[in-house]
Amino acid sequence: MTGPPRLAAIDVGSNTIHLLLASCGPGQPPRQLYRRREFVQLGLDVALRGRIEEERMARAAKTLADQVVEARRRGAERVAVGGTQALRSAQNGAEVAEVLARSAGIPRVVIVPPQEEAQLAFDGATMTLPGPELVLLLDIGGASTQAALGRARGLCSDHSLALGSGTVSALASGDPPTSEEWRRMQREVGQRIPDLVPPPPGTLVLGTGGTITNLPRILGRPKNSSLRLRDVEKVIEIFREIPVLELAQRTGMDQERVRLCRGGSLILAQLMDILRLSSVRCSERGLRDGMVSGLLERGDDWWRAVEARGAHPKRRSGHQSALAHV
Amino acid sequence: MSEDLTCGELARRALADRHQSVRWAVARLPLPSDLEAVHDTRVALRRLREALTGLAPCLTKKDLLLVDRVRLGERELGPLRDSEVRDELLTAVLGPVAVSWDRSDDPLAAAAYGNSLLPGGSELRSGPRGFESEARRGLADRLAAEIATARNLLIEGRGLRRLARLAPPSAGRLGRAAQQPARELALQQLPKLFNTAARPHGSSAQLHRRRIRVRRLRYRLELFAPVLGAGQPAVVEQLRQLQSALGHFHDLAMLVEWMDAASRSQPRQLRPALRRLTVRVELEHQAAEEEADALVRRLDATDWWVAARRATSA
Repeated sequence: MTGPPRLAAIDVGSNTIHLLLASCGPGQPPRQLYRRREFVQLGLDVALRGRIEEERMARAAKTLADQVVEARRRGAERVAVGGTQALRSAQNGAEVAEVLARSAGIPRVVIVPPQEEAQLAFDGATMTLPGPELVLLLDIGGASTQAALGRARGLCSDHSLALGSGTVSALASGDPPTSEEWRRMQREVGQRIPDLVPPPPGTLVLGTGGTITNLPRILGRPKNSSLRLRDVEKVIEIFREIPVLELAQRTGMDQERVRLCRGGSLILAQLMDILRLSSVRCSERGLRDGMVSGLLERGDDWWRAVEARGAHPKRRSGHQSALAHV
Repeated sequence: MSEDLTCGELARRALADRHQSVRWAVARLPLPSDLEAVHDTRVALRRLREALTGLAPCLTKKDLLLVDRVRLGERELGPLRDSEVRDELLTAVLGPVAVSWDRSDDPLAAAAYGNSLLPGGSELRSGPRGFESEARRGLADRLAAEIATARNLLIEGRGLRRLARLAPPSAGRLGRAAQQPARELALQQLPKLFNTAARPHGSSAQLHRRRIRVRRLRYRLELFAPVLGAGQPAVVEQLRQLQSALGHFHDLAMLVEWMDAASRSQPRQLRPALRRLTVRVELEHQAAEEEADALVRRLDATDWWVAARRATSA
């Protein structure tokens, strides 16, 4: 195959296993060629039992193997696979990572530390920005949330929370959730998000992750539109009234994604209020773009070393979060 | 203790005393500075109703019609008292806040003051946690409006007049059981009340119902106090503490419901902060429930109810 090299990044998340194939021309940010995503929900097992059960592990292994084959079939020269909060927090996370790597025929599934996850998402989200402006990135994942502040394409200071759309949504089984279930979700979010210092005025606020990019669709807007706090609250009102199936049919979203967005929207609203953000601009790029970019610039050895905390070349060890309230 | 007191004599004393309490309390209702007037009136009405119910066998049909009128009076005071309780609890849990029309830090009015959260604004006055101050004041304003409306309805409407005209029970003309010893009547009624109050609870809803049964038992014990044993005051005091703990838990549950509903009518920008405030009240509610539950279970575990029943009838 001629043309710029093609690299792939697969993120084994708490909700989904998600493949990005990108072509990487010299001096250019990676161009997204192909995306594929499957809901495996490793985080659900972790939330319920603290570990990933055999059945879900087998499903994840098959999904990952299929995605690796697909990436190679489409010309990926190298494939980086990273696991996030579900693998980090599962009692058998390391064992699952080994099983997944073996079944996919790759050297390893790297368990990405939270700070590295934040930095990679930050790298991905800011790679196309023109100047070194100050950026706050909110990344709401399935079982963790990162708020990262820094200059575009530079080192970021992050605050990572072990709270995500999947962990919060798992607290409600009703459709729509009952008042009591909403309260349970609100309690979880309200108690777990600490005081965070609002970013300086003029900071560009970006958002990434399944919740933030999909919430505009609930309001009938295109994916990746900007969100104001009042928009997020409007979405929450809709979630309180309308069942998943109806919303999925109305918006064309996966039912599972709609369900996950319920919890994610509560997290986003709280973060926007505590950080005093008037709006969040959705970023099409994030963690996987950061992985591809890092792989391109720094190679396989760098990717394998990410697992060792602080291995990111930009990151100083013991870096303190500028967002955490003193 | 007057063991030979008849039902008729007890009815004359108790009903006159309770009716007088209602009249005194109702007279205080129009005074906005009297913060306890509504509460005291409601308690006085409940005690009167409980006395009418307890002494029903020796009362005439006409007197018993009074029960419904008293209940109606209690209902008319309900909205005002509920709002007052919410206000007290919000202040206790979330701290006091001034209800004012100075809206310089209100995000909705902030455009006039220059607010970075609104397009074209400049600076936002910082609060402790997002919009918590504004959200708290939104609740206080809503409560102030609710209290004012309920008070106007009560004072200006027919509610107060109806309460003021509540006729005294006809203590002179009593029913057939008037000559029955009051102690006998007490001993007929109290076992059942003790049994229902002692019925174990398994859920929050049952715990709430238990509170009502405990209150009924307490008022009935107070009614029959002149003919009961020496242990009665101690038992009543214990029931009062129990009722207070159970009431606190129930009031907080009601406050959470109210905050949930009130949040929906508040500006969307304030809702995340309102949810956090609600969470704080919920945590207080959980603590109150645990405390009330522990108190009741402690009594249950020691056969307190059996001992209390014995102490009051000894």
